[in-house]
Amino acid sequence: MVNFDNAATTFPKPKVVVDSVAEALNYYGGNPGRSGHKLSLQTAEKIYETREKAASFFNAYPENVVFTLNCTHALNLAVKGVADDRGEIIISSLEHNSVARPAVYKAKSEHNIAIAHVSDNDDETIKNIRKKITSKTRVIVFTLGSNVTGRITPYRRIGELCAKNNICFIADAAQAAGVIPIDIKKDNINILCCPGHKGLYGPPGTGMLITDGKYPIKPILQGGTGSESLSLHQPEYMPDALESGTVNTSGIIGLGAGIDFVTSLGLDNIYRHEFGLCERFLRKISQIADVIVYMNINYGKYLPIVLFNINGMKSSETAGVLSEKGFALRGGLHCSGLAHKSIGTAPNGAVRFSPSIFNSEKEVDDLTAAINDIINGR
Amino acid sequence: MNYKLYLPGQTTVQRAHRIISGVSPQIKCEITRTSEPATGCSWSLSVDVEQNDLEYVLSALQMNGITVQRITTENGVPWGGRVRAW
Repeated sequence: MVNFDNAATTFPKPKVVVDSVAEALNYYGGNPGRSGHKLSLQTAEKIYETREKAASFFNAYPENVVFTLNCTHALNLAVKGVADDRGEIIISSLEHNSVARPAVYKAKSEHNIAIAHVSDNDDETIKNIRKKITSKTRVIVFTLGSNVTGRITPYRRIGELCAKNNICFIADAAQAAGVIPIDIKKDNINILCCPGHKGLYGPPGTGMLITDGKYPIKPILQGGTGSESLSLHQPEYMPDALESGTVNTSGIIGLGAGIDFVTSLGLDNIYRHEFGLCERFLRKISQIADVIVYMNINYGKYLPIVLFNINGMKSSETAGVLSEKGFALRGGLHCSGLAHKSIGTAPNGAVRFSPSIFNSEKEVDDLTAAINDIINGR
Repeated sequence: MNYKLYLPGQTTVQRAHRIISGVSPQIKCEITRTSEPATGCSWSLSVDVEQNDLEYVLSALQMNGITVQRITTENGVPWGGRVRAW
């Protein structure tokens, strides 16, 4: 099976990641942060190494790296934990449900939500955000790059806007982390949420919340942290405040290996390879009658994603037939109803092509041939 | 002389360990699990340094945003030194 559904989770994983997970399960069996014996301390050291790697990768303090179950978990922590006073939240028209749903949940009790339209023109997008900012705006949650259209938002300018207006900027880096450069200090990102299992090539069940520390985050879970155990209150210092319960040791150690893998290849090389495959695919399917493509892609403006449909077929049906032919692509709405409404592909959705560093030009050509077969065989 | 530096969480202790090792790899420095009623700290760093060097260690931690909650000598007596500015 050739995986072109890497925007959902990257697969295959690099050998170094697989090996490090196996090593963790074989040798790092202590519960980190809980005991003073060597088994626990050695495991804690490995966990800290990943924290350091993530901190260095995104330019943060290691204490401000919080390990989560996934990006959704991190976004829930951020949106619910920061937006705790009466105020307004601005989200983008391209948000995934992992942003939209927690924001709406929060809005039911306390907040109003404004949706800023993401245009193909960055100036327009910034203008749209400005129009939505009021004296009550406390938080802007914006994707760095859409999981549907691939559009990279003008996140550095959004960060500047937030800093100038004293608004907390929560960045959803679900698709962007490990693909484009992110520096939370330079980019004025207050809270970055990202998965470990996508562009960072870590195992499923890993994610991170990384904060610059400016806006305190209230926990949504309380429990054991291995610290201040006599107190019945959650510690307020990071990362203990937001990391209750035993962490995913093998996953986090694997994530550390994934970050090393990405660092060693270089973001530019990864992006160039994946974008090149998208260009090739787009060029080929654009020549096929009955294929509808929903986007243009420009280098540096789009993440490596191509969205398409076959005329007269539901997206889920196309994805199903391609699966039978040995290709994994995702049809439907990609958990992003807002984005599909915004580009006019709801409710049918579309088929998403999302390569990884492990895909080749030959695989793209084979996929194109399979799409041709489907159309010619009707 | 062995001093115990009490810090709030294990992650902070781990970063402090890195910083001290960076100041001087010769300093013997060890992370220990503890139960310290005065501050509630659950983690500490055992640092083997002369008093004068301890002040430099504390300054280095302070410069990196780490505040030590409590310091005791190896027999548990609170240390009363002051952190010297660089």
